[in-house]
Amino acid sequence: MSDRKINIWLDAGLIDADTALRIREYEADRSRPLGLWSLIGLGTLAIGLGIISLVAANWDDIPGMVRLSVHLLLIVGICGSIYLFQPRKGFLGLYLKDVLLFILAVLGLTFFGHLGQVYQTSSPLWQPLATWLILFSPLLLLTGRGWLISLIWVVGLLGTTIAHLGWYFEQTDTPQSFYMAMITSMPVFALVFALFMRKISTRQAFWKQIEQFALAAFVAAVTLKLIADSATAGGFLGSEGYVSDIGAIQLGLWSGAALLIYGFNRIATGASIGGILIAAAIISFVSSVAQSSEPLGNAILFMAFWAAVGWSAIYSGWRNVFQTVVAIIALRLIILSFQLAYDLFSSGLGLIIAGVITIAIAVIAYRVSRVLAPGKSSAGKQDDEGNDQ
Amino acid sequence: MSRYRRFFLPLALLLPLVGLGLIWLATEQESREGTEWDVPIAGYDPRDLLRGHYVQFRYDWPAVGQEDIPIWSATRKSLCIRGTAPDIDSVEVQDVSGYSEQMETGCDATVKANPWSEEGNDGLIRDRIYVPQEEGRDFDRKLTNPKLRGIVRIRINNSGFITPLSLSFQPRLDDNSEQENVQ
Repeated sequence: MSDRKINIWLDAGLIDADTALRIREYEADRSRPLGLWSLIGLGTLAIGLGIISLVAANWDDIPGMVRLSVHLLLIVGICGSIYLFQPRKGFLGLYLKDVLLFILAVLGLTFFGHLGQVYQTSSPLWQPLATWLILFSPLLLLTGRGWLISLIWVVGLLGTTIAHLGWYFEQTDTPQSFYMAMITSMPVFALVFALFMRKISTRQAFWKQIEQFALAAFVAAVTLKLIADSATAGGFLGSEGYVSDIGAIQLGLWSGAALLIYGFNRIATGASIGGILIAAAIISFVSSVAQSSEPLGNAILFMAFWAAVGWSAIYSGWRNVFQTVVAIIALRLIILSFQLAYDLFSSGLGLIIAGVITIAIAVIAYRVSRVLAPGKSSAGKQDDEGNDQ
Repeated sequence: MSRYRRFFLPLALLLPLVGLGLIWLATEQESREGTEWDVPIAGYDPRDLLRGHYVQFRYDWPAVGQEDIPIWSATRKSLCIRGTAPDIDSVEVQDVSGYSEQMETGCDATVKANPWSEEGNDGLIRDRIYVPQEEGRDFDRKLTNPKLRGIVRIRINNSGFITPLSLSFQPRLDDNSEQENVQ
């Protein structure tokens, strides 16, 4: 905080002299020797980089057993520090411990690769990822506090899922519908799990982050699926009956999850998340069954899903989410107008129409995102009985 | 909090340590299992013998033509090796689907391509072996010497995957003249 700003505010009559004095005292108390810290940081960084280059340059000359032992000892040391920092509050207990947890998780993951390098073994990617997930999840989920840990866990879970899906496709020519429905529902399971844990944990912020990451991944995956459905006429995965089987199982799973979530959380958020899940299940199912290459139908399905997300955002007062939704729907409308005007492009009239529509949509979307968006801080519960369909 | 600290946290911290340790042990154990065989190598590209710290080579399986091992469907094929380790008497190309039957038909070792390795589906045909930097020049000279034949010692583990262990050289018998004499 610079004195200049305080002086400007003082001159403008925004704050009085007392307040200015108190702000200055407060900031003086909080000030840290930034220059010193940055030099220490720079020195530490240089030492770290030096060690890394020394090890890297002589990597093949260091016997594998020695390297693996050092790797495991590092992991042991970090585990010990986490144990010592756990009871502390403040900087050490909260931030440093999270950073250590993150480094531990990364070191743990690289240990598998290191073993493979030393022993010349290789295995499908999902196996080390799944093992990592089993070994590190309890620790990460029991002690994590910040977004670094919630993010690495959700990324680890989804990475394992995607790697396993890829491996499964290599193994079989006739994928099982039940497996496909279960594996694609992973974000939903993570979401339900995090909502349940938030009820019984003292670290609500952490579990909320996991919910948010899982929900974001789910919405992104459904969106990609809808885009893929429209891009490849005849469906995303081929044979028709099989795809609608998956859709039907997902419909059951996701609706069940939605009910469960609403059961846990009889508040706006619970209803919103449940609404998104049910809308996703129904729309994805319809898209799978329809397998249409009609631009209008696909655009309607896409926008219906995002409208459901937008409704949930209004209902729960997620301002930023709502504005994102408006932007995405507007973009989809613009793409649709170009798709429909495609035949007219040769006449030039189509271009004009598409351009006019684009400008109109942009203006309307801007208005909607300002006027209809939930207030900045209020969790205003607008009763919008319009169903999520 | 105290119960959590006393009971759950140490367990959660011990789980990755014990788990990683056990996986290390299991990998170590596995690396000692299986049988070792000597396979002649051939057909290496003389322009590109050493790539980084690795020698790239092709397996010259005895009594198998190069074209008998399909490149594209290598994951569905296996090699049935007969002989007394480390000497290979004969090699036969078989389908992976009949794997269990092969065990009864008396293969001394069965080799499959490891699709997750560096070589991918080509694992039955080509491979690479690490060479320390200071020995690189020596290997380079021996590999290009037409009078020497490279022999790679491989380990075939219980899953049928190959790990090249070491590279040695033998004076090459003049195969062509021998064959001409027979004909």
